[in-house]
Amino acid sequence: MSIDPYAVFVMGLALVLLSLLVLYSAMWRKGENQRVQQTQRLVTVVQCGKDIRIRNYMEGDYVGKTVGDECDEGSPMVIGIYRE
Amino acid sequence: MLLQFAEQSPWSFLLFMLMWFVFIFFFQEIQLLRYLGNIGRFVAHLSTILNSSMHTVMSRLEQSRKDDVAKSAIEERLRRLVEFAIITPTTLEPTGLVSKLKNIILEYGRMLEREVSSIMVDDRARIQNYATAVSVLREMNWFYKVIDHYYRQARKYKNYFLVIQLSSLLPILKELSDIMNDAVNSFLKGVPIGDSAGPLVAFLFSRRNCGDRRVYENVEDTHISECSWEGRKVFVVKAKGPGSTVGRLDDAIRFVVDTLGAKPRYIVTVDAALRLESEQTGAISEGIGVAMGGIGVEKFNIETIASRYGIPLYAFLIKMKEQEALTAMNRQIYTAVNDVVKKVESFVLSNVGVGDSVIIVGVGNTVGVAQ
Repeated sequence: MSIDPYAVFVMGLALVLLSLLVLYSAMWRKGENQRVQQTQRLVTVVQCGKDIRIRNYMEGDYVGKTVGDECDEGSPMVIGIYRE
Repeated sequence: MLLQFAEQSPWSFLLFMLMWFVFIFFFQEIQLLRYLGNIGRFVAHLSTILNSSMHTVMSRLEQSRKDDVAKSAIEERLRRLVEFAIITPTTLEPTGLVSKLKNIILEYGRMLEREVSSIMVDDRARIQNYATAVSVLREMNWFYKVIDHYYRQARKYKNYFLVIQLSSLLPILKELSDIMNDAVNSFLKGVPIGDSAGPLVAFLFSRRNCGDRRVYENVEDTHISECSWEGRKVFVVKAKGPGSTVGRLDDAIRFVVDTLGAKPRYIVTVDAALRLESEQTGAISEGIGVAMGGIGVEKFNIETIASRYGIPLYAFLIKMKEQEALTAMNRQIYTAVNDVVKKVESFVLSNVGVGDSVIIVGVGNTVGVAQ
């Protein structure tokens, strides 16, 4: 049984094209995923004297805002808000 | 292999040669179609995110609207603001260009705030945040229009080189559009962004070292405080938060030097700086000069004041990507902010003598950072 070189060529070409397609779509998906990774959780840093605690960000928080009840050394104040 | 084809089947050979010639002569057209397809999809994506951001801003404005303002009026006003043009002064005669630019920028800011405040309930910080969000929306709209314009031109004239240029810029353009989209949400929330690093340094420095301070409210949207720390007189200047504004730092420094008569040993500026790909977010660098971005009006004025009085300029830069500068601050930048506060303290102690004064300027948008 002889092998048709034309068929071999076409099959080879098809394989190369298929692998290029897979590679291309994998690269495209990688680019898309880079954006999805940026899911954010905002946290608020509250300072009371020397005590610093971190809690979930609440709507209306801003740095310099006095929050909650008084603590030993004045009022607790927001000293930072950042994305984790 | 070609000879083998010819020997076995002349039709196969002819078919192969035909395909070969089709590729030679139509390769560019096929490429053009592929690139135009990519750009067309990007333009459609841009249009979608622009509409989505517009809808988000609109719904936020609707939630905070005055009772006597109709929903349709908000939409009409928002569309008008998004199409608003800023005409920069002519540069044919550069004399007085900086003051002309400053006049236009200040008027744009005032107009935007006036328009937003006329539809919203009275809350200055929120009005400033929403006005900035509208301003970003305007930039997004312009960005979309420019790209759409070149896309249409390329399609109309089948201009291969225009298509290639657009196509090669697509990843950068996509990143820019995503940045603007995220920035709208950050400003609407009113949380500190990467660019707020400078004002946050000023806030933390004041909080740690200036228990008893004198505050001056003489410059619009700008907070100036004076305190005595370790025998040095320290003036801390930043935009007045927590609403979104960059303040008028040049006017504030002029006020401190001219009106208050201070003779500072140094003007220390702290600002966010765009990092190169090889640099890490949150990396800190120091330098000489005014650390300040933007179109350069305030920078020019501060440099003029400093050179007139012979005041040395020192700068601290916190490195970040553009995306990080315009979206909610991340942990690396927050850590860097705390490190810079310590560096500024150490700089003042080592370079400003007891009895001397220094001006510390937190440069950047103070959204989410009060004083």
